[in-house]
Amino acid sequence: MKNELENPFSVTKATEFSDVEINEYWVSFNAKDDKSFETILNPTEFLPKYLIGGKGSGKTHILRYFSFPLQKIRNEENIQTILSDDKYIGFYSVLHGLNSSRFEGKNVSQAEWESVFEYYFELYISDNLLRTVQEIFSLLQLDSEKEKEIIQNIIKAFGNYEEIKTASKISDLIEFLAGLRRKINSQVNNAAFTRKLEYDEVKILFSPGDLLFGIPKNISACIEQFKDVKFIYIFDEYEKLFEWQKKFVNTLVWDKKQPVTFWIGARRYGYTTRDTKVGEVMKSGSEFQEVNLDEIIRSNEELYKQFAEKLYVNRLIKYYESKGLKVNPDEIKRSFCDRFEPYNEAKILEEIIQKNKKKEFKHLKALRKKLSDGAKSGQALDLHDDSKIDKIVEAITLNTDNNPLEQKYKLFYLYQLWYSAKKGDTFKSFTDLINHEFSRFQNGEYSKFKDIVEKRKKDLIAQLTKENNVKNTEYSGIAEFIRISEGNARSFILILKKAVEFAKIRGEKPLDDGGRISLDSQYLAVYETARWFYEDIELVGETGKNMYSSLKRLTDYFILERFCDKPVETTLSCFYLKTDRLTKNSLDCIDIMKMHSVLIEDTEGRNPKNSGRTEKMFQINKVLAPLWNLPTVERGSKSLQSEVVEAIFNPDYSSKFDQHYKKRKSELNAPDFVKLENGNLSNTTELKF
Amino acid sequence: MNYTIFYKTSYENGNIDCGDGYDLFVSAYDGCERTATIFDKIKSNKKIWIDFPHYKNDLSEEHVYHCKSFREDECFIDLFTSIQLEANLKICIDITGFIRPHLIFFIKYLHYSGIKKIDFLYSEPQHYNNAEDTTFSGFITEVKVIEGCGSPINIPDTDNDLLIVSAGYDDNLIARILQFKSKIKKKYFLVGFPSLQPDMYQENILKINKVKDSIGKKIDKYAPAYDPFITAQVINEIVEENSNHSNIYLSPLSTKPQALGIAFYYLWNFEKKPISIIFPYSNTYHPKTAIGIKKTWKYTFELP
Amino acid sequence: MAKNYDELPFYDKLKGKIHAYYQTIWREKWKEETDQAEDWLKNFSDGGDDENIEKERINMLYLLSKFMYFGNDELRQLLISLYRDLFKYPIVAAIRLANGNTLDTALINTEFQKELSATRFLGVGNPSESGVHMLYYFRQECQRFEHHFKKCYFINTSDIFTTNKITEDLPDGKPRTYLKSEITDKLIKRYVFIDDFCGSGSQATSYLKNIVKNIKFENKDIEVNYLMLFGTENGINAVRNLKVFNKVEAVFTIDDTFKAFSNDSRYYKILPDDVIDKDFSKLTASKYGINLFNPPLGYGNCELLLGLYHNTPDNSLPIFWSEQNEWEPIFKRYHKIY
Repeated sequence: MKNELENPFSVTKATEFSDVEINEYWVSFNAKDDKSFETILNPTEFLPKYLIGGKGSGKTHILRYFSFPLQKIRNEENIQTILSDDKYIGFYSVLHGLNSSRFEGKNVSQAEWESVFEYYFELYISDNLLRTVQEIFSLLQLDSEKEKEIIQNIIKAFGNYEEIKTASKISDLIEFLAGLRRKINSQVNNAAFTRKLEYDEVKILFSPGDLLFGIPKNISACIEQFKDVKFIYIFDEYEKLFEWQKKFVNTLVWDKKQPVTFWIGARRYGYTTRDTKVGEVMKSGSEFQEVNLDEIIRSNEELYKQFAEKLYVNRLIKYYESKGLKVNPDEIKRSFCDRFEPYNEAKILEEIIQKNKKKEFKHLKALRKKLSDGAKSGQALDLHDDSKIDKIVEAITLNTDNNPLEQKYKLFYLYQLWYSAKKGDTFKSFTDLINHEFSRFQNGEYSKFKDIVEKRKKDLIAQLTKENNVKNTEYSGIAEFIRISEGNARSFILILKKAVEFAKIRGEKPLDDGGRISLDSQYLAVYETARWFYEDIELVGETGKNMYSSLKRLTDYFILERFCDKPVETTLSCFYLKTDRLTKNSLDCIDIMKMHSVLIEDTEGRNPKNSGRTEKMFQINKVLAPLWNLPTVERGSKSLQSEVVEAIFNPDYSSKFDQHYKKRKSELNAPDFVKLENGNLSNTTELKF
Repeated sequence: MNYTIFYKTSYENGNIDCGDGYDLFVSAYDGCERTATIFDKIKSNKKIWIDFPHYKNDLSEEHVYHCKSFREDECFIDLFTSIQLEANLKICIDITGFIRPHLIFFIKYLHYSGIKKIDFLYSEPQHYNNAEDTTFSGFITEVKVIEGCGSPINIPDTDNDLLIVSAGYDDNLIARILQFKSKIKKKYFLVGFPSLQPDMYQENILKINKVKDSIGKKIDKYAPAYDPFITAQVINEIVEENSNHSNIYLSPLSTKPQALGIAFYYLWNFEKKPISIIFPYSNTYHPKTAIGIKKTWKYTFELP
Repeated sequence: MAKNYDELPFYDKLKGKIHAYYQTIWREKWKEETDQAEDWLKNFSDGGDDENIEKERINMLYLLSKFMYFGNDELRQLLISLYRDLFKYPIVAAIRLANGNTLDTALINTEFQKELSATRFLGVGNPSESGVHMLYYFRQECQRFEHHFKKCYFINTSDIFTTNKITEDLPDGKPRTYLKSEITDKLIKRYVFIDDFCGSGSQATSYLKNIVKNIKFENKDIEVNYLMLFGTENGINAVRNLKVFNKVEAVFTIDDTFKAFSNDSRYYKILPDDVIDKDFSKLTASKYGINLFNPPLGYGNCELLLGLYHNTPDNSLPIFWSEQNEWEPIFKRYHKIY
């Protein structure tokens, strides 16, 4: 077995932590304020909680933190202080273990499945409950008579009491319940062949709730120390259930009985219903509290920043301590941050120059082609053949000292002028103007280029990197990593994990004095994290297929806006849409992308030109941006017309997308944009210098 | 129990030895030379081509059984009602073109019906077209326990659950299984080594590495890509190494012989251990574009 | 509008593969201080202008990404496979067959132990060659795998026969002294020769042939097998054609598609990028190879991309393993000691 390279960030999932590690690596969000997890979840109140969070939001870490094994660690195994100070016991269960999808099909009716599942669910959860209770009894050194009394109280509810009345210990009850589960398992499994369930084998022996609520009630009543103690059933992975199974769990929550309450952990996409089986819809606030981790974290940017910093510094401290080194947190943080090579555009430009040493830059070749095409189709002003093209290219390269970015600035201006050309304009007049402005710019005088450089630099560097297949290393540095992780701790830790890994494998010694993490390593870390995020979206079936194709169309559209001759918006990353004009299909798709954090809704941002309430603003999750070389800053935004939105998000209209795409492409690129000069370009806004 | 004592033989160029012949031979139609050659050469009273809807074949041949459903528990119902499954029936199944969950369900059904001995054939082609970039499955529709492949035992305390994945070239399948059982701490990867060809091992490792962030910590174990019995033996070793295990999930995402090995281990143990076989389902499969036939393996299952 | 997202530049993709290897199969080759792939690529510096140097390097990097290295874990698995699959499996099958298809593991075990104790394992080549390491690992793995495996099951070829000086009187009364060789242990039923790599089969044809013939001369019922980890198709056939071994088998058979620049080369069936060029790569490998080894594309012109934990066969391209003329190898070859 080969060991992984040593890495303080190697664990990115709470599941992989032991109980002790869960405790050690616990970093509270906003520890001293009203937004800490302890305050929000408040285990001493009865109000049930639905803890909603995307993958990597820390949901499992939080839920496990409040479970009995962790309570024991925090209270140094002292059961008395757990009961008297904590005043709750957390019974943590992961629901994947139910394999709940077994309870369907096989020629068995829905009603039968529901009854068998509910019965099974109670048996299953009771097993976890009883095992913890058994441990507590042993820690309390409870006398066997008391135990017998409690057991007897519980089993009286059973229809076959006579058969089991000799039971006196918790272990007897556990064993008996296991036997019942075994019969159900066999029936469910064999139904695949027999196409039915044998009624006698799955006959229900007690009333619903007799165990789930009955056991805690009995314990509370019989044991003094339990008087004010809450029993919190913590169910993780609610999203693994079918809709009807979720309704059943909701019903338990809605119908909870003292001293029991529930915390339900769910992925956002799995939190799909508030219905109960009895037809009531649970009311948020009074009947349960919804705790949306992603929203809490994303709406507190500064707190998330502090949280993320604590997270990584904590990991580093643990790492260096394990090496037997003395550590000073500030020192660790400073030296680690310093190892990240700072972004340097000159490096990118140098690479591009090197790559094109023996050939003409791609952007110049493209210019030649566009001029030539324009000349042929009569869209290139005074050009009617290729004779003047060399001169134009020369004018663009003039005084740029082979710097591709400066050429790009000039080109950008040229395409602007070409687009808005009036009768009588010539390319000569354009290039003269451009070079006049450019020389003013170089002399430090006021010039149009000042504005171009300020607003367009990032986009033009992105264009250069894409054209030349060079890595755009603009996504770099810890602060940037925190920002693009969009409130998702797992994404952030994963970027660091990969940065350290890539740096290590390249011999950069990222964790040692004098080591570094190169821009290349940082870029690869960000890119690979993006790829992971993209590939790991938990979607199956048609919904998944549609989501991915919609995302493809959306990013194609955004790519078009950034990588064109005449980008309209600066660093375009956000879009608006009017929800009241959209079909249900589109809204559903957008909703799914939101639930999977593919799209992030900006609830504060609103189009200044149009502030209707039905207008919503979205951004593609910044963590994904490197996959398409899209910007991560929230600067430019664009209002999408409803037809375009439909073509992107509604699978029924997706065939129209090509048409919109081509139209937009010609609007944004020479020489075709000339044709549309006086066309209806309602969704483009002209950049004013 | 030693799983490595069962019979395994190989034949070159499809020249298989069928002994006295079989009562029933079943193969899945995938349009490849290697399955067609075996279908012709096999000696059997009855031969059946299974036509899976996933492959979108358009078949009008003789001996074809058309599956009407995509689901493994539904698609063979008509077939099983038409055959008398008796304990001593001599059955041979060519697994080469089968879809994995359907194959495993098929075997489980035979076992449930009292069949104790089955011969399986698997043919390696001369080569694959586009070996490296071939994706075998389409978009995943759901992940679940293969019908009928759970256990009477299920342990609610899932802390020590084991996930044992035989991991092959399809990294998408691996990622889906890991999402489905993302809360399992102890994950074992059974890598096909020795692989069918010497370079396939590293290609396999690269594929697994591609989804390593969805996988997290794992332990690698090896079993030959062509050997179900050693696969079963290695699973047995893993389970024995983890004597405190709770539920065991097996997922056959690599070669068909390894899928067979998972089924073999399962059939010998599901009554006494909490084992389930899980799989990420897809309704579309692109049959491998395999050329020629090189080696055909025969494995004989002897079941409890 | 083709791919779902931008791919990394081709060079980075290849480096990504190499780095993935260094974290997995090549883990024990990884060194903290340096990027070894880059160090190795620096060897290719005679390309003239920058562009050509870059082309050479990316083509060589591509070859490196296809290099088959089997590390410590993998080598040990191969050895287990050789023992378990090629040696033990058929014996167990025969025992079951002879005992009414028994599943009685105790019985099978006892019978197998009898067979095992009548078997001797031998290395191919003289004991000072690098294959000795391999034999040592093999013994370790056998002992781990098989509780009753004894060290004495390993012998040297020189132990097969014992030569005694015999003196006897001729009819005329004069004493005559001569040497007589006979099989040392008459109870042995089976000799198994173990090899890591068989390229041309020359070892077997030149050196083993007579030994095996002598064994068979002594007792034609003795089984002699030749089992190897890797064998080229040609090598295996050459040994089989000697018709002296009962069984000649390899865990992995290497056919012509593994010959880097052959017509059927599997590495250039699909070109992953425009810059990858088989002829250019062959020229490059030869151009540098000529200063490294004769022949420049590896022993027997095998053009292999193969390395094992304990050594790299000289049948692999010398650009990977040679240290001649200050070449910096990436999979160094340990030379035979004579």
